[in-house]
Order: sequence, then C-alpha cells, then structure tokens
Amino acid sequence: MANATKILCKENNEQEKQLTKENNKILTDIIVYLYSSNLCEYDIQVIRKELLGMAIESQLRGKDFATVVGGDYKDFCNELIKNGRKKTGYEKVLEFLYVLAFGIGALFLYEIVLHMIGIIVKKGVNDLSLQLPITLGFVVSTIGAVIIAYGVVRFISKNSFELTLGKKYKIIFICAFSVVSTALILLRVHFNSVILFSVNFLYLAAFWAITLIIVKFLSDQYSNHLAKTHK
Amino acid sequence: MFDKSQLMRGTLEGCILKVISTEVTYGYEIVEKLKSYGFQDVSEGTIYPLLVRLEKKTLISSEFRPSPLGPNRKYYFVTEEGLSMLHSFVEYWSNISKAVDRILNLEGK
Repeated sequence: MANATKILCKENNEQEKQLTKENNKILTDIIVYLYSSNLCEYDIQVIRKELLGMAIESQLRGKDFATVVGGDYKDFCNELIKNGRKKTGYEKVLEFLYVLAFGIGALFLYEIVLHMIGIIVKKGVNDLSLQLPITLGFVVSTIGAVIIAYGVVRFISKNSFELTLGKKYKIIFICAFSVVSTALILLRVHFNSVILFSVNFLYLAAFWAITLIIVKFLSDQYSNHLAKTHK
Repeated sequence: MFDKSQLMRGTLEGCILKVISTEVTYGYEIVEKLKSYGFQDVSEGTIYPLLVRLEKKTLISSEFRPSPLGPNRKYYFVTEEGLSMLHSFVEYWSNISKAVDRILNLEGK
C-alpha cells in the first residue's frame, strides 16, 4: 500500500533540489521545528510543498525568501502550528510503535550479529547456535538508546533555529550527547555478564517482522486517510 | 508602543476574503494586492498562516494549478460560508470603523 505522506515527502525532496543553499537552510529549520509540534505529519509535508513553491518562485523573481517569510521564523511557525490539524491519539500511538519496532529491531539485529561474531571468534563456527542470551546490559542500553534517540530528535527539532544560529547550543548538545552515550556503553559493558534469559533468535526475527508489517500497514492506511480528509 | 499584530490579524482575514472573492488568486498576488491598497508590511509569511486558518474553517478552498513561474501554484477561491463571513465582516467593520472614527475625533473640553 502506498503511503501518501511518504509519496509527498519524496516529491518535496525532489523539489528541494532547486533551492539555493540559504533558502534550503531556512526551509529545513522551519520544517524541523514544525516536526517538534503536534501537527500531523501529512499536513507538515503539505506545508513544506507550499513553502517550497513560495521559495522557488521568490528565487525566480530574484527576491529573498527570508523577506518573503518575514523576519521571525519561530513566530511564523507558531502561527502555522496554532492553525493546523493536530495529531490524534491514534497517530501518536502508531508513531511510537513505528519508532519502537524499527529502533529495537535494529538493536536486536546488531546484538545477534555481535553475538555470532563473538562465538565464531571464541569457539569457531561449529558452536554457533540459534539461542541468543539477553543480558541486563543489552536491556538497559537498548532502553537508554531509544530514550536518547527520542530526546535528540526532540531537542534538535525544538531548537532548530537556535542550533543553526548559535555555536553555544551545538557545544552543549555535543557534550551532553557524548556523556550520555559513554554512560550507556559503560552500563552495557558492566551488566553484560548478567544473563536474564535466552531466546531463539529466529522466533525473535519472525515476531519483529510481523510487528513491522502490521505497524507499517496501519501507518500507511492512516496516512492515506489523512490525505483524503485534508482540506 | 501600539501592538499592531492583534488588530492586523482580524482585519487582514476579512481583507483576504474580500480579495479572494473578487477573483481566484494565489498567495503572492494577494500580497501584491494588499500592498497596493496600503498594507505595506504584509508578506507571504504574514498571510500564509491566515490562509491555512481560513481554509481549515472552510471559508476558502484551494487547488494546485500550473504556474508560468516555478512549480504548481496553490490557487484560492471563496466558498459560500466564506461569502457569508465576508458579508458579516463588512457589516461589522462598517459599524466599528465609524465608532472608532467618532471616538478618535473627540476634542478634549
């Protein structure tokens, strides 16, 4: 099933190539900031399409896009957020499940590969088994990584204008990210010997694949519903 | 200093409705028209959130049409509800502007 939001996003990515570097930066900051809001994703892509049109036209007229938008980008975005269609509880749950399914799935994949390499190096190919030990280190670092990833996305989108403008914000962000990431790695190493249980990774992969398919199907369906009901 | 934004917002919505009711038009053209009538500070960034709001309230409707300059343009047209709202705005503005004029012309005794 085609996903209306993704199709529109792809079209916008193509159009974006026509923008100058400065205009692209302004538009990216605006869209990233809108993503921090409660506006539904499909409508953000519609806004992006319309702003892209405005920016390209202003370029062709030889006018500055910054002047076209007006000086205060944050104020402009807040006006759009106030007037746009908000995410429903269902959309938020789907979004959360999508991120969770992809995020945890990717980390499991990484864990499986790492585990197999470890066995091959230590014991040889003959000792490979389908059982994957789930350690306390893996659980703690996975939960931490998901929370950090969510926090990083929220921070960047909420502060998109400040991050573009100020070095101070960038330094704070990089320092905080480095400290938390190091703490997670240390936790991972420290609790790696505590095995909680073992699981056959084929079952895990099957469960992950089914979850992904269901979540993707529901997301596509909802995205198309948003596209149909967009005014 | 007098905060223009509050007064501007409500007034501009009515004026945008009026401009769109005279002909099907697009963002840049609306701005140019508003400027030609004296709204010098207006930009596309000012009117775009208002157009989104008017469209959400189904006072205006829109469609993308080919543009001679750049990608497809979003053209706006007024709906029946929009015309009715415009009528109310014109009536209210006429009353309020007369009242404000009378007050501003008061001479101190």
